[in-house]
Amino acid sequence: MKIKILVLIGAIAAFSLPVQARVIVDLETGSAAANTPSQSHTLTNLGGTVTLDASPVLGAVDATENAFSTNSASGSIRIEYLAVDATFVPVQWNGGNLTNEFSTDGTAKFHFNTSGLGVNGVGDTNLLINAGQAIMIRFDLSRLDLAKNTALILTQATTSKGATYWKRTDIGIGNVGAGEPFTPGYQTIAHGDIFAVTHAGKDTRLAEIGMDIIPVPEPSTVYNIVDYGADGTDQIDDTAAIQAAVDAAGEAGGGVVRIPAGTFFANRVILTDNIAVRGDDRASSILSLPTNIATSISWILITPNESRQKNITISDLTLYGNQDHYAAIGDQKMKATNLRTIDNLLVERCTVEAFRTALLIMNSSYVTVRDCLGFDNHSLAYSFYACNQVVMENTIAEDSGAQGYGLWNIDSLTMINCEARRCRWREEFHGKTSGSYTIDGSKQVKLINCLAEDSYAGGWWALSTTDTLTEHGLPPTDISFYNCIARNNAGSGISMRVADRTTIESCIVTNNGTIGIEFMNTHDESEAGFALANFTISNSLIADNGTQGIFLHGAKYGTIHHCDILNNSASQAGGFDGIRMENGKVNDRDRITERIIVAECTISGTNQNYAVKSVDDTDCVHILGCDIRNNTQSPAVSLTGTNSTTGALIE
Amino acid sequence: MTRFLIASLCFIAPAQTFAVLFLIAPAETPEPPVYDVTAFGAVANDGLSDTAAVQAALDEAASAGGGTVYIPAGIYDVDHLNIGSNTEMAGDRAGATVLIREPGTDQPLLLASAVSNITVRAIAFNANKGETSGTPQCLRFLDTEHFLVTDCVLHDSTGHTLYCSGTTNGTIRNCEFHDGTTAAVYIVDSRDIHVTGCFSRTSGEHGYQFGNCRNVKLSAAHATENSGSGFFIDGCDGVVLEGCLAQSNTNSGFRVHSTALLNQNITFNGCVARLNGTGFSITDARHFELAGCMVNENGTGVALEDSLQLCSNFSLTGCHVVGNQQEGISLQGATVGRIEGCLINNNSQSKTNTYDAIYMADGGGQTCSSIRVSGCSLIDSQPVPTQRRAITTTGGSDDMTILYNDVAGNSSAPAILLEGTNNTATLNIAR
Repeated sequence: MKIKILVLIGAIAAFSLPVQARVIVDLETGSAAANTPSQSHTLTNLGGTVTLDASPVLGAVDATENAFSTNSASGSIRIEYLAVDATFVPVQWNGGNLTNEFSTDGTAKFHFNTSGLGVNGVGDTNLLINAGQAIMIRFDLSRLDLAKNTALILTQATTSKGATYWKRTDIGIGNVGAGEPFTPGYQTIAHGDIFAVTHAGKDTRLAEIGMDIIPVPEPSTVYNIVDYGADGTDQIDDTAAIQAAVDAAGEAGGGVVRIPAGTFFANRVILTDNIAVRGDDRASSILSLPTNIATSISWILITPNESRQKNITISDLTLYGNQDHYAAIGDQKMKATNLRTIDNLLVERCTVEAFRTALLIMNSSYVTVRDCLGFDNHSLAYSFYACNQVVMENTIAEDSGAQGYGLWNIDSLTMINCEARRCRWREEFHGKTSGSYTIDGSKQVKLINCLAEDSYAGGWWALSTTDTLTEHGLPPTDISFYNCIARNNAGSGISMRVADRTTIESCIVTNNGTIGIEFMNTHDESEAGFALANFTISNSLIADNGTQGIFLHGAKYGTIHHCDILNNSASQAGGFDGIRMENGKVNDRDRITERIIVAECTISGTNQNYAVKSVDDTDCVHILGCDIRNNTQSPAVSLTGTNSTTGALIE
Repeated sequence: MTRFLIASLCFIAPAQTFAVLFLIAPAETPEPPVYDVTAFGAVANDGLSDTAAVQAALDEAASAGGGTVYIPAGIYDVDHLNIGSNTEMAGDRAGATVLIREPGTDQPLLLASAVSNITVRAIAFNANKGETSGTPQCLRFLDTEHFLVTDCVLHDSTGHTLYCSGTTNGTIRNCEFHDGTTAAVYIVDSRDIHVTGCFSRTSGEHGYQFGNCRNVKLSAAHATENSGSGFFIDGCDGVVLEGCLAQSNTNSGFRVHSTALLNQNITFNGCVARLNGTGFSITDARHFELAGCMVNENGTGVALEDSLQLCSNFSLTGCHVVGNQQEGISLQGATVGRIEGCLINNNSQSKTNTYDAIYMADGGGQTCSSIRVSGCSLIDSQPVPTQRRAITTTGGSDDMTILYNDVAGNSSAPAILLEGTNNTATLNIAR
């Protein structure tokens, strides 16, 4: 616990120096006998006007204030000085005339004036230290009573030049061990602490020692980034402070890195095991990419490349990307996160806004993303690669420039109550493949109660691409849509480019600009594992879409059962069919659509040309027990192939 | 203030001073009190027992009428803690805050008994199964109502990682359960339970087990590599499973079984069962449905069976039952149901021309009857087909309606072979 406090104070020292009414011991005005090897002074009246050997000491603010800023101490502080002669190497603490006791052997003296060798005495104009010499300062706090949750700190040990070192234990001759440079600013003082003021040259004089008593927070596993110097009110980069907080939590085995209210700027904060980065709430706690980065790829939160992490949470934050700045400097890869190889990752109650791509999560297992909103990102809101066991629940992607959700090579993904709205709005992504949700090479995908609407391209797409990160494409397999809605997208509602085993059950696919549901073969079946096959569409409504209700190009082995396919071809009266089947072209070779059952559906609407139309080599298509009234053509079913049949139609 | 001071007098020694100082603070602020276990003498990572300290914090919360017992990051050695009403027990993050069971007493880490309004949040519970001779659980909730277990990891118990009996209105969210010796989540005689976004894996028995429960919902729950079934439902009424995954479990992915009470009103929406002994095994249940489920590459795909009571009033719609080792769907004594818009292809992978897409036989002294199979693809599309027939019924198998199905490509002819009476098969396509 003590170590944790010290880390904390060290961090304060580095980053924040609030105005304090600290007391200054002015050694020029002290008094002591000359030629004595050791001296001591005592500070008293600590709760009021602090006195040194009965004389008031200075305060720092206006040279008249002479109380500690926190009047929460009583008793006295005894400061002991020892002059050290001979060769003194403070970094190693193995030289000089040091004995096991903080006392003298008579070889070093406080001299009365500047003449002669050695260290000049208190009472002279200054204390002079030459090469190989030092003044050791020891604090005796045995008579000091500090209030709970306060600490005595050394704020300064001024010299005209030279360095200050400190060590926390008594030291003796030959006692080898590293001393630590004293960082100007704050350093807690514990009973018995020893400081050495040294100089490698000459004519360095010890002038003042400053002290203060400050409040110390309870020992905590909540690491508030403000305590480490982050400032949520300025425009200055807080990366170092946030990283210090994360590192402190990490070194302690884990904890909460608290992001309080404010806007904090960070780039590449590295998260490690058992860290929860937690804001107060997403309306007030904001982590932003800075606007002064001119090069490199920027990410706010990342994980180390070289090792696997576990148990990371990011919650109750807004992550803000300053996309306009990064677009201006040409950083096309900036993201909110670049999180890799994590076991058990939770992201919840976060808003992720104005990035190129917002949340990038890769190669991780047991990932939950819950109650998050990603909006106004220029590429994707959620981009997941090669993860295993992923749950997304109550997430929203709005106004993404490209996809709302990019799901590459995911094994076992459940999305429940997720929404995507107004995605693919940036012109650079117009006319390109994919929609609000892209399921690329993923398997065991369950989409439950999800919504895709108002996309500038398609709603859902399943496909397989060879991406640069995994260097291979995988076939999407086992994709289940249950109770999902795809509506009012500019392109198709659901487009399966290559996918083996797809079920679309109890879904609503309406008012999309082109096709309602499309199975379009884009892969050569000679590639192992790739097939556009085995699909069911059942108990769904496919209505008022711009072109075909359902369009199969090169899809095999499917049933369309108990669907209402109504009033499609909305863009052109009589222009498109309720269901159309034809060959799919891959590498200039035709993939045949075959073995399709359409049963007990209602396929109706005067804008629709045929209820069901097949062309090319399509074969083994059977239209059974369907109501096909009120289409433009009569008869409303037109099938190719010798093995295609109709039966029990209501015409 | 007086109350706090008096309370502090009852404390066991070392915690006293800290506790008094700490508890003054809440009296000055309107926020609900927070009881930090370290203020009660718990010391993380020292390998010494923290049970008395954590229990003192829990007791203090309970005697104050509730509050949050906060366990900062670190590893604490505890055993047999007892949580009172209106109490939240919160860590920093599962994995950062770890409670490990002290060896010796073989008691659960945390017990809630006949209390209400309990939250357990962001803590890892390690039941330390290597150090026990009994069957301790991680969490044990008895007769508890209104509880939430969220963002926790429960593991390595010889008993269940989470055990609930007689509980009502509970939510279990975003938890990970693994490496328990028996069923990881075991909930019995309970009602109004919601499990969402959880992962249960590598337990010695089932991933999730519900017995005699009413109104249970499981959303986005994953069960993988359990030695029993992924989900085991016994004697329940009103169970909804949506978006659940059961993969690579030794027995069934989803199992509905009746030890005593009949199961009824069970819904599976968009669930995936893959690589299990059996995908869905539903025995002695009525009023159940599978919609948009994936049941691929299991031993048997779906087994519906009347064992002792009945198996009736069911529907399977928009389901895929593909590439299973034996039957796609096996019905034994099932009555009154429909299988529509399903794709039941390429089964009998273990032995060519042996198992059917849909097979029906008597079971539990009952004949399969009144089943409609419509708009399904019951084909074999492999270059060398394995599936024997689209549909075979044996025994009584009465009142079957088989229509509008694609039954081509199977190994044996006829593709549909029906025994029994009053069966109709029309407009099924076999070429």
